[in-house]
Amino acid sequence: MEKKKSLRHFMGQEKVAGYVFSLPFIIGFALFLMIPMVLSLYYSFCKYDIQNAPTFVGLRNYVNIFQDEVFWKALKVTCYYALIGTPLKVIFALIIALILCRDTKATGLYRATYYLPSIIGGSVAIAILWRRMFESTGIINAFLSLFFPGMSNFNWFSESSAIWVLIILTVWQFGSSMLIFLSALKQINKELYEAAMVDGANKWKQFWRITLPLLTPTIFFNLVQQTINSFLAFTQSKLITNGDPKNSTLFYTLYVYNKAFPTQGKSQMGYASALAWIMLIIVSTVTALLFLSRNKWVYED
Amino acid sequence: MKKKLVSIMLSGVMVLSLAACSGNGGGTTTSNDTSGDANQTENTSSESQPAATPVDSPLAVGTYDPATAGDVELNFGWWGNQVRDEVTKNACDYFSEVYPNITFNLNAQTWNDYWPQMQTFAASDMLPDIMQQDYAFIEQWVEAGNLLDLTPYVESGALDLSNVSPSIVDTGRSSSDGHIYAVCAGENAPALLYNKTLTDELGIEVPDNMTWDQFAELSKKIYEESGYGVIYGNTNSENPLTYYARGLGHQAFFEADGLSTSVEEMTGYYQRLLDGVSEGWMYDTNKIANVSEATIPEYPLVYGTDPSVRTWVAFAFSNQLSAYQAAAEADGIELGITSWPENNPTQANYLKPGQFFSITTDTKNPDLAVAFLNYLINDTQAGILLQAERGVPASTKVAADIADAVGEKDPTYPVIVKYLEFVAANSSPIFPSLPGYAGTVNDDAIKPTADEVLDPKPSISAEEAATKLVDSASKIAADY
Repeated sequence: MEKKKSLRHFMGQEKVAGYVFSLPFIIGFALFLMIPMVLSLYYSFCKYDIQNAPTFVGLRNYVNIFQDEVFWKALKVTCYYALIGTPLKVIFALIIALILCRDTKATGLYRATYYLPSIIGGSVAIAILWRRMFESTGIINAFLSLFFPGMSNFNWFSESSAIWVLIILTVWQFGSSMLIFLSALKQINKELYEAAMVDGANKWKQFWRITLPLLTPTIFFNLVQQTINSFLAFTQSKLITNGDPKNSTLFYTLYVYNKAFPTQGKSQMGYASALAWIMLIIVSTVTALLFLSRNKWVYED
Repeated sequence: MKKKLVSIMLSGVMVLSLAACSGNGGGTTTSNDTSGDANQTENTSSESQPAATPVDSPLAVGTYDPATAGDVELNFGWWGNQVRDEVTKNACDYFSEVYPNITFNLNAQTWNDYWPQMQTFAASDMLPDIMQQDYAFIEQWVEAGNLLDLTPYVESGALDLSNVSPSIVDTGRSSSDGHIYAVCAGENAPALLYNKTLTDELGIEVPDNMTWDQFAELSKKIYEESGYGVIYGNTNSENPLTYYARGLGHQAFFEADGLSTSVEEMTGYYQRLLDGVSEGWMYDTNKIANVSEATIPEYPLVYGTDPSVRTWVAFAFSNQLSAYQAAAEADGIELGITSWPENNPTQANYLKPGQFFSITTDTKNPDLAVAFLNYLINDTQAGILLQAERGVPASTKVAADIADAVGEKDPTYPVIVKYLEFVAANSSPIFPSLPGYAGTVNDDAIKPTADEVLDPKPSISAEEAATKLVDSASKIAADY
């Protein structure tokens, strides 16, 4: 009796209940995030081919990486993709959100429709569809050649333009950013616009002086989130181009994957782990820089 | 504690069965001589009973009766194409029909996805019981200790290879210890598949045993008249280079410490690519990117709406004719088959044991897996169901028995058999299984070098490319 009571007392404590309820998450976090991360940090100092036990080699992987041409190429491609694709995506999301924030009967339908790409955009099916659409005899060229006859055989997958096929795909997945913008737009106090109207400000001025400044926290949030997403993009590069031609679409994550799971030859899991840790440092630095720039342009109440 | 007890008991049984063997002293029970370590002896213990006789079964299963195995699920992994996936499933289903206690978990992948997945399985001791292997990689997998030594089973009669020619059996032996680790699933040869409908329309004849210069001239003509091109030398594969090296008189492309070919010899190879691209008929990297991830039904030989994205040939292997022809049917294209072009074709060409079947050390039912393997190799009905899609069956008896039945279902089969007869008379012995470092050379040296040479505006000369390849291959070999 006494024991039962103390158990109930123990479980009844707020702290304990909190831990019990978050246990599933804690277990998942430890099993699928913490342990793999610690292991990969260890492997990054090893020569490890999956099939044989890892042997410690110190900093050799890291030294080799900085002399690896393909590493620099992959880094360049990924930065290009992230730094061009992300702002384009956020701007595009904002424009669509501004259009869809007016309430009419059909806006609900439109919102759902425009959100759709970001649900399915990262999928394998879309990647394959994208490849087909941008083929030189694909539907995109067929459409463009209606207006520009010269485009009928344009090669989207050439070394200079292949990365743009992937950038267009990421911009097309603007849905989740758009939704966040929409809810932020709703929260802007209507009285501000009324006051501005009384002062004779036109729509354009209202946008620059009221809407945009009040949206900066949301823009900041979207920018951070999408930048991280871009650095971690994988499916598109793997399935649409597989890094070709000449590594011009070789995303960093794909390079890591190729080193860890090569088509032929032995896995270089140690090298891949080191690459992954360098990626972590880069993404953290970029995010930190974004946060440091916050005071300069983000408006807070 | 319990485990320990079991292992003690097992070793006791082993000792007893060993004693039984030596007591009988028969020639059929010498399996213990060849198997060096205890592990292998344990595997063979169950069938080292004297006078192993084939089981009375409707299927050719060797000396082990699958009906006695209890309810077991066998895992079977391979890479392939739609046709192969279907025929392999049929062969497995038929086995399950006769032995309802055996079910199959089938894992069909593309070539590119198969190897990474198997490596991951290997790391977690989850390899399928039966695993398709490639001639090039056997050595690498034996080295890693993932393949079961089949020699004892062959000697005990559980795996019957008496109808397979010894030279083909030898291709499944490891060069390090001479034991058999893989059994040939079918015989192939490099084969140039071409769009016969197109060449007929153009009034062009494609001769057998073409030299490279003849081929280049022909391709140029076809390109100028129709716009159809050629994809060559772009992949992370040693096949075209091996063929080239053999044409120059080397048996193999890879040697223990690097390439067999000199820089001067490799220059000739890269010059072909530079010339082909500058003349327009060979795809450059930009055009290839359009089709680089293509599977057989998407390959430009059989798919594409415009001549500018089509090819008139594919550098393939003879067994692939079946899958390519199936894909070409939609456009009403008839495919032809001939040898890869090379300046000394009879020296370059070879008969290749196509895919192999191996049993992995992760299997829990080695005897059953061997019985199933025996069925795949020696059973006539299995041969008919498999449709010789992996190549002409290694067992000469099965090859002869299935010819009519398979030919009826798949009209390409007699064409393939005829081509292989041609190759048998116009070829030289195959190169040995590749050294372990070869795969890394394919990925990290052959592919990037080809990319630079096949650039629409190449900034590298043939000689620079050749130097780069030869140097990085020997570096990779040394680091391995």
